[in-house]
Amino acid sequence: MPTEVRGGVEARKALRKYAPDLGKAIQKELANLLKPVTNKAKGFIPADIPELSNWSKPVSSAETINYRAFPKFDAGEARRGIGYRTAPSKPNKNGFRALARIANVSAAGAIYETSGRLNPFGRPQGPLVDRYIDGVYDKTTASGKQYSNSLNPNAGKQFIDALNGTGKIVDANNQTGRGRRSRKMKGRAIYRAWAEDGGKTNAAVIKAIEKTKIVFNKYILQAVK
Amino acid sequence: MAVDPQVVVNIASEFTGKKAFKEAETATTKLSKNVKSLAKTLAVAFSVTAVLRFGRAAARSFAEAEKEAKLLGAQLDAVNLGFAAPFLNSFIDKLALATGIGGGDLTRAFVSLSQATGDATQAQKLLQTALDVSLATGKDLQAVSNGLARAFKGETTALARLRIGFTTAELKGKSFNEILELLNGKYLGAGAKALDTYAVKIARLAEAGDQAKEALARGFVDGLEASGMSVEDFQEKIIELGTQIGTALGKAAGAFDKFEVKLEELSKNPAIKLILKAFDALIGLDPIIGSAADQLDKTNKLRKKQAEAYAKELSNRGILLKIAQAEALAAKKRLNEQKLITKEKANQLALDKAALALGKGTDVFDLDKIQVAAALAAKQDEINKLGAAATDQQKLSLANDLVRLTLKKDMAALEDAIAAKDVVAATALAKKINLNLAILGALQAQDFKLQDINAILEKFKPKALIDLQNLNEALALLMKMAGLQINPLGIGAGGAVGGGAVGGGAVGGVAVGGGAVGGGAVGGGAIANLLALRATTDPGTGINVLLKEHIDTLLAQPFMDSMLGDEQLRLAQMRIMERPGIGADSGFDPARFRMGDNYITVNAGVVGSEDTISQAVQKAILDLERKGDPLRYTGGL
Repeated sequence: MPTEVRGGVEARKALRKYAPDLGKAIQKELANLLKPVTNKAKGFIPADIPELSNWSKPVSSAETINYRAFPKFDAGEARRGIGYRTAPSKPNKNGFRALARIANVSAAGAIYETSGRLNPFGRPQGPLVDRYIDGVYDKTTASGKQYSNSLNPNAGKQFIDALNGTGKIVDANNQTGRGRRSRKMKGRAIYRAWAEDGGKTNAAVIKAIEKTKIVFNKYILQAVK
Repeated sequence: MAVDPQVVVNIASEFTGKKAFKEAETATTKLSKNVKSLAKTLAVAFSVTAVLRFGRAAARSFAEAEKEAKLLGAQLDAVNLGFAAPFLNSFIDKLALATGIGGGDLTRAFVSLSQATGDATQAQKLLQTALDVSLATGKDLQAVSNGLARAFKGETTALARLRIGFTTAELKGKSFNEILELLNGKYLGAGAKALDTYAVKIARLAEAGDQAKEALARGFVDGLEASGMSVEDFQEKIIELGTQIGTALGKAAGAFDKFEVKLEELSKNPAIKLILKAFDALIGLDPIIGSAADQLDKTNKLRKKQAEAYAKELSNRGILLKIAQAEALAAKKRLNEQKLITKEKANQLALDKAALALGKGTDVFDLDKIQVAAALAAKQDEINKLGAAATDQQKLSLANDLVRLTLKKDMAALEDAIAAKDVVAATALAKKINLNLAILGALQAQDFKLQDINAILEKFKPKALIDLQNLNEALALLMKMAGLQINPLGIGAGGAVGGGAVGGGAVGGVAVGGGAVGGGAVGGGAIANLLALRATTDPGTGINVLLKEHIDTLLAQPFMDSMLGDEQLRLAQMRIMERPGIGADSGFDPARFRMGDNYITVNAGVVGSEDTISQAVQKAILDLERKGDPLRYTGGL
């Protein structure tokens, strides 16, 4: 759960407009704070996953399939995909904008990050349902995003077990108090690094953003003198 | 690359509004851009888009105003003040015009206050105070109103957190009316001064513009409905008109090589101008507030001024913030200073106590006093050692020294008494010093007789309560008083008891000797002298007491003699005197007594053995030494 700040976006905008050098310096400061966490997260991406050697092999080309194929796991790409942003994000559906964030933009990296956090034993097989096909009702397996599409009923579990062999899923949500904890702060790379950071970077970033506002106010005061 | 929201750690986020609003805003911006580009295409001179923009702004303002009014009405209903809504709406509009603060802000502030107070009149007064504070300090009106509303309910923390020069400690414990007085005392009229600034004047103009927009939209809608035409019909008419103009222009554009040039020419065409003016007149803008283009220019200028004023206001807020911070700092400093003063007072008290103790210590280590005391002790030693062979000159010198030292000691005591402002002690000491000075003068003039000098010296001698002579005398007295059975062999006839002159010979004549009760004449002249000397001293002083003791001793001597006489008479009646060797005229020869084997039975308890007596004497002396009351100095006992 990110900490809410106020006036950060406006201060950054104003700094970029009126004191670009200062704005850049502050962005650099934020980057320096976030870089160690991303480097640590990159370290949690394994070079290869022994039991999933086929995942690293080339996938079907775009000529042979007309859907987006399951992405190939490339450790280098997954590591490169881990990075940070210091520019404010677009507002989400609730109207919040993140002022700084760490993201894993690689598709394979994201799969490595999150596989098993919703279904620790893999997606279940679809149940048998009646389906009307060619004038007759027949039993068939239900399909959908929530069900495994593999013929191997243990496919999901085997995949997740293999990933768990290289890195465990860690919950970075250290909130205490009432209420249900979301699973969305769980992962193997960036969330693990964030959890191990223990909130130090978070505090430092908030402080830096607050400092941005103070710096801007001082700048304005000096400018009007 | 897009970021999967499932795989991102958001570190700090800020609420900037719901996405739906953002989308609406984006759509509006896009529409504006489209319209603007269309307008560019059709030449800026065409005022249709500008009119539409103004119309849209007017409609929006009208909608917002309606919303505010409804909000106010609903909130007032909630506190049973719904009846006052029209009046309060008017009040807020006037206040908005006067202050340049948006009607929405005022409404929200008023709602907060009315919810807290439940009284429209009180809320109006508080709103005025809140405005003063807000305008004077640059604080948000809503924040100030919330602070006041909470303070009304007894929570002053929010007001203190505004940092408007009052700390929580200052506000705590004060009633709301006291707080209000404080605020009014500090900020009353500050709002009026702030209203005189350029920024606020611009804001007031802008507010007037906003209200004009509302009025325009309201009037337009009312007028349209009054004319029998619905809003929908009017929309269709406008669209139809736009379509016709567009078609005409499109056709016209085809006939020219350079479209924009031709459009500009077209815009300068008086006929087109006339059409546009007619259009302006159609929607009711011209001639009241000028054409839409003119209005746009005015709006742009107004916005520019507003932007400049806003920049200035920002700077003012910064300065005001700085002032508020400085005030808070000053308040903190004052508090710290008060604490320091309190601490200093406590320290001073402790120092005073220490100085008092030091003063006492100084008394102990006062070298002058020590030296005087030592000199006195030395002189007293000399007096003690003064033997029978001492010359008059030596006695005179010693007496002189002693009186001088006593004088010095009394002078030091007098200084202390004067410093301590002890009037009684100072007076007594002054008298004593005068007396001593008289004595000193007399000594130096050598007017005193020898016996007087001896008397003076005697005063400084330690009272030799326990010495051999005293013991012998006491023993003799005890023997007489207890009716001792004296062995005839031991006591030779004619042994004399006493015979020593009491008073160093000065008294003279007090002697028991030769077995006869010596009725020696007591030196009446000496007593008279001493009485005269004593009369010049103050009662209670050392010398006075010493003189009295001495006089008493002399006066008691005849009584003692009579006692002895009585005792002898009693012994005679007991026929003890008839025993061989004992008689009223039998003399006592101590030498013979010591030479012979005389056995004396003393029925006096511990006085049964010489060792016991000597041990008792030794013990008494040792006890006195241990108690720090030695026999070596005068006044030791």
